[in-house]
Amino acid sequence: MPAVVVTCLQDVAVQVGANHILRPHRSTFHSPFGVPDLDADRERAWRRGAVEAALQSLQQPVDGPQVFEY
Amino acid sequence: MSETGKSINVLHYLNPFFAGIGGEECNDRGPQVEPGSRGPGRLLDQLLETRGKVVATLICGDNFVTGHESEVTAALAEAVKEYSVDLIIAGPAFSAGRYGLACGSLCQFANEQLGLPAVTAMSMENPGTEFRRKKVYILPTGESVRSMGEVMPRLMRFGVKLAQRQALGSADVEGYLPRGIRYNARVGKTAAERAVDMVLLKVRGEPYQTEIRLEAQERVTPPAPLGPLDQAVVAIVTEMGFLPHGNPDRIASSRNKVWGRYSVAGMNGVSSDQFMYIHGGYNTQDVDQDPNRGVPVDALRDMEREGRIKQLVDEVFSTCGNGGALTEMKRIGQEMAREVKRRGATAVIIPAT
Repeated sequence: MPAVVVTCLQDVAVQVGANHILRPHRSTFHSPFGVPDLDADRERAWRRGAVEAALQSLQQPVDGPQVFEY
Repeated sequence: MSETGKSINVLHYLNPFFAGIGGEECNDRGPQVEPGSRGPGRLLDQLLETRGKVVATLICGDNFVTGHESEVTAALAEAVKEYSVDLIIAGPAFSAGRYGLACGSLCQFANEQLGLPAVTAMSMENPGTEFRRKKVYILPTGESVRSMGEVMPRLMRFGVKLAQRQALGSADVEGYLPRGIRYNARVGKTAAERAVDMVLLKVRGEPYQTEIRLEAQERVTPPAPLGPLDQAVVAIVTEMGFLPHGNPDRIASSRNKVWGRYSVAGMNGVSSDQFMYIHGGYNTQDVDQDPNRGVPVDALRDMEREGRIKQLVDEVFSTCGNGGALTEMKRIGQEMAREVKRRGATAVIIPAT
């Protein structure tokens, strides 16, 4: 089943063999789907984009750990 | 020969199965000491040749050891005195978990309470390998008992080295499981020079040896790509320690062994009134304030409502991964995966810290 790890610690995800990894650049490692600096609406819009990117990454075939960026 | 040149007196620890007494039905038996060798101890004796002899065998049921440890260690101490034992060899336990734990525990006792060298052997997945953190020497084996012929010579040689108080090299060199003990050693070049050498090799695409080795990389066969998103049934699985206030499943903030499944049915997002995060490995302040920053339920609900995805599975599967033992986390992952599959998920998002 396609599964994407969403994390800022992408090296760890690669190390354990996760095939789809999304590295969100604007979030911090302790809130992978959050950007607290943004106001609520903009943060929510950003989060929507991150979830879209995560699911779209699963539509890409990979043959080993692949880091996608958002 | 031992350090003083005399023959090494070895006490061998076995469970009833290996001692040839019986199987699972004997695992509640208490400790008994037999003179000489039993079962694979005979091979050990042969391999020792003139260096030493298996003077006694301590046999105890694996179940008995849990809960009666002091009786077993007392029997060990007595046998050590009676037979003038110089060295303890336990197992090998291969993949037998309770046996591995018993071997580890007895070796620790021998080291700490009797001041005696001890060594055991078991497979990498055996929970008994945790005893290497207590400085017990453990040699790795495969899972199968059939490799006894390969393992026993290693156990014998290592045991003899210990009994002879020979200087031991690092875990790599000597073939035991790393115990997390670091010794300082002087080498020709400074760390800065060695680091630059390594970078140059790496940049040139040449092989290099890291000085800090991480656990071996696992390979997971990549799945077929996800089809159209509007057919996707999405589940959220996390190790961030997402859970309802009150923590009904008692998920621990560290070295955790349990997981939970938390309903988000009828919710357009997850609220801090109902949910929080427990995890000793990161600062949960931001995600506690707005739990959607960890598990993005609000975004997925929007997508579900818009028909952008078919469905969000209405339970979040959650555990706390901080300092988790690999075997526990593997088990938790397998259990979660089974349930996620049963819920009809076709795609999984795993927020992770």
